[in-house]
Amino acid sequence: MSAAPQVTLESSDGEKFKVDKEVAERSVLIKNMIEDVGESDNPIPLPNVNASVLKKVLEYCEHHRGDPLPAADADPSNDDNRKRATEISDWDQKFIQVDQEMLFEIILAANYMDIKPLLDVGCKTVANMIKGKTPEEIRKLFNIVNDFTPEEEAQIKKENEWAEDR
Amino acid sequence: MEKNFKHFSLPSCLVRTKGNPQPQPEWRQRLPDAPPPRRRSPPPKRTLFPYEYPPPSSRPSIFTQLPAEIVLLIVEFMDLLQRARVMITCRYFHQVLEPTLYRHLNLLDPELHGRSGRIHQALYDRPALISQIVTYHGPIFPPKGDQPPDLPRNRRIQEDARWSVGLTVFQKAVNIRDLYFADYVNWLQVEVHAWAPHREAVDDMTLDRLVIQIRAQSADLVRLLRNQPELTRLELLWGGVGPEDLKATDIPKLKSLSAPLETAVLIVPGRPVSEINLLPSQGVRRLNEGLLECLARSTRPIRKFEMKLYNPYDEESFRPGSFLVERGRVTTLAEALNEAQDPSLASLPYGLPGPKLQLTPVGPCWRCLVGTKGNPKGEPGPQPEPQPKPQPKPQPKRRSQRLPNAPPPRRWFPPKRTLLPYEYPPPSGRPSMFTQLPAELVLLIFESMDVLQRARFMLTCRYFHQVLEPTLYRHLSLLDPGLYRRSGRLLQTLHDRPALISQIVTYHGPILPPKADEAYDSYSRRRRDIHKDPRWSLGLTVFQNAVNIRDLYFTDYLNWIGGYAWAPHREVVDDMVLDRLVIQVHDKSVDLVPLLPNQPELTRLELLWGGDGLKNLKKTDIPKLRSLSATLETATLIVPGRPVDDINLLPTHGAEGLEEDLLKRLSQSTRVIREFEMKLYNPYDEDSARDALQALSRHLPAIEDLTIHVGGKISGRMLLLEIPAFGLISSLTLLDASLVHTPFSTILDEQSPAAHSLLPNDSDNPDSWADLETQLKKMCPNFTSLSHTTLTYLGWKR
Repeated sequence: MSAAPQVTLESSDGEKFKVDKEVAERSVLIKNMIEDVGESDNPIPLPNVNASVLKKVLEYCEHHRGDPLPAADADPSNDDNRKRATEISDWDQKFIQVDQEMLFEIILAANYMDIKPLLDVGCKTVANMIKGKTPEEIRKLFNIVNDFTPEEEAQIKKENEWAEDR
Repeated sequence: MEKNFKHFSLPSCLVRTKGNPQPQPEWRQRLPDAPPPRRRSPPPKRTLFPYEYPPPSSRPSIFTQLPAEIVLLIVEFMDLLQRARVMITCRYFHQVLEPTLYRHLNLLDPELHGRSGRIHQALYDRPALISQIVTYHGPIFPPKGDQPPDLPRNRRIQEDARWSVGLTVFQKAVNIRDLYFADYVNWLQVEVHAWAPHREAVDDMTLDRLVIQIRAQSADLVRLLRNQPELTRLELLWGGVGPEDLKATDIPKLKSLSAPLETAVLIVPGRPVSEINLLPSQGVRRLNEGLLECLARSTRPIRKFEMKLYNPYDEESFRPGSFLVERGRVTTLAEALNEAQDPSLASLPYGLPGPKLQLTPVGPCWRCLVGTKGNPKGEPGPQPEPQPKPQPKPQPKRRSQRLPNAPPPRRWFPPKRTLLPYEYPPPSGRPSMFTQLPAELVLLIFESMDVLQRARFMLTCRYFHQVLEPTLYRHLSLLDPGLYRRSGRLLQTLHDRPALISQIVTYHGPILPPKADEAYDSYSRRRRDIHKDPRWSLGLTVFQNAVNIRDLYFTDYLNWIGGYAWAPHREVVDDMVLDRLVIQVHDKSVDLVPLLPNQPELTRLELLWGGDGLKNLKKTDIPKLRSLSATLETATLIVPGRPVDDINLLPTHGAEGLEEDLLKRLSQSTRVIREFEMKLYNPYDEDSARDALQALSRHLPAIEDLTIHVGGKISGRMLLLEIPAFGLISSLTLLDASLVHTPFSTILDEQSPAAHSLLPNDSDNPDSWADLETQLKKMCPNFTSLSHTTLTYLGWKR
């Protein structure tokens, strides 16, 4: 019985990860690179992802290795439905319980590596964090500096009165 | 004097007889061993809908019998001139093709370019056609007759009749998505005042693609791009150094860029650009590596790349290309080399000769980019001239020594957004990662949030305000009672900030907002002096400018018959190119009919009430309709001859069940009806439910997805007998339903003797929803799911 084909990924800080090709190909970016370049022993460079984030991303890919891949030319209306749903599976919830910095690093990496399901999990997590919070609470949660002048803020609040239930 | 025709006779071959064949001349007689004559097949069934256009000759043309959707498919393969020729062949084609003729106007062909003045004039004379234009590639200022382009650069341009014609046309062409003004437009110089109205016209368009020939150093490009949040393709044929003032939040969806390298590095970083076409820069001998590095700062990997080699015979000039190969697809460079017309070079392997470039988080070019407008340190801006390869600087000696067993230092990767001119300083102390995300990711996060949450988040800082404000108004659904009550405030905001109105794509809400804290004021809506109400003019102003709405549902009950006051709102709807329209229209209203011919792109129509006036609908109206929600009587006026495959039947007032004659007409759609939804008239009468299902399976047997609003009890056994008649069914949904246990013997009567052979055993009686689903899966090969909602409590609440 022959072993599953493997590929080597190189993070921005030079660390190399040898993983099953099937796992690496959860990333559309890597899948395309392998298709274009062909089988090669050379590591695939990922200059925008550092080792700790790549490790985490590969953990996700490993867990979801058997899942069906999202179709590239999927129906846009299905895509909308997918985005509207905010449920996250139990495993994914535990997986994404990291500090904020890592959470956003994962989102950036998923975007760069083109892993749509992981990007969805990250984005839904942030959306869920924000739900039900006032602007002040959100600023505090994400350490956002209020850079509006008081006049500007009042103006915007007035414009958005229609959205606020008061 | 009476003439005597007695001796005058026509030749026998010209005499037309009916049912009395003349003897054939000898030369036309068939040989004894000849094959039997081919029988002419009967003409296709075009007569499914009222026949308006008699066939051109005794033998009907099959082409003119095709449904409008097929005709449209055919002409998609024709060029503009061909379409125009087909269009004038008959009324039918004219009606079908006229709107599409102007949809994609590509006037780059020299012949068409020469006639562009006539096209402008035609549009000027028929303003209703202008809103059909989606693509325009051609001149602003058409040439005179057959003369070569004579673009005047003088200040008297406004006196030329062509100027005013073009201006009128483009001011109304708000539905253009793909724009290429093929004239060289000098946006910067003195002529700018003359072109300004055209620029403003472009601001009213929501472009997906923009091709522009703009003078280098033009600052006007930035102003133009700032109003195009949906732009995904930008092609700057010349120059365009002006974008150095572009904000990080401008054109956040850009995917494809065509520009010189010096311009591309000002646009690509921090945006999701995945396709680049590098145009050659004048006076440059080879690609600048430092600038090239910046292209890798796109938030998406560059997958498609096109370039021109400056010197295809100088191997050294290839080396910067290898940098891109490492990040992109090798085939793209091969394509680029193909462009150089040297096939031997196209087969170069993955690793092209040349040193491997090192990515540094803050390279010299990056510093150049920071040093633009928003850079607090005021470092120098990007240098378009080629630079020598930067030499690595020696690192200063560390003051503190790391402990031997300490973990390696965490390498700080600056978020991509910081590559852009820095406008929003990060929070003090530890920077918030959230504010560093590129705009496209922020938008992605907010897609799953409701409008209230978006509005709150928008208030947190300037960056989020800039990114989210346009999207806040994109999909406005005010059906929630709280939002409905506050719709007046929303319309007031839109009235005060008209720039936001063009962002609206979906509007589900009232035309006339309720007064503060008033749930509904139906009385005031029927008054003849309604136009004196300030809310009336408020709504009118907003919807007159909301030309980008695609999905519209005016939730007020509109009396379209006697409501002269609503006429302006109706005209407003005509200016929109709708994909979905939900409307509550008065029974027997004839006003709905004039509304629909102006909506050739409509695919979803939901008539909440009535619509008998649709008898006057022409067969060429709404040719793309796919989904319809209406009563059976109304549906039969719309479905035949249109590509409807999804129907929601609303109950008809006063009816007791589905009329089979009417149901039969639904099968005359030009597509197979796959999705069907209906309400049972009497859920407690099992016979009527069975009759409805049997009638459905007889006339619409290809239904795959069936939804029934039961509103009471339904027999599982009856479903087991009737549902398998839908041979392709895959999904059944029963709403407000409770499963009732009925013995088979009470169902099997004389009405369905054939069902005896299909009768399940008594042990298969479905006692639960799960049982029913299991048995349906056994009986229907495609069946995948049965879903239901339980019957709400109807008795007294104790």
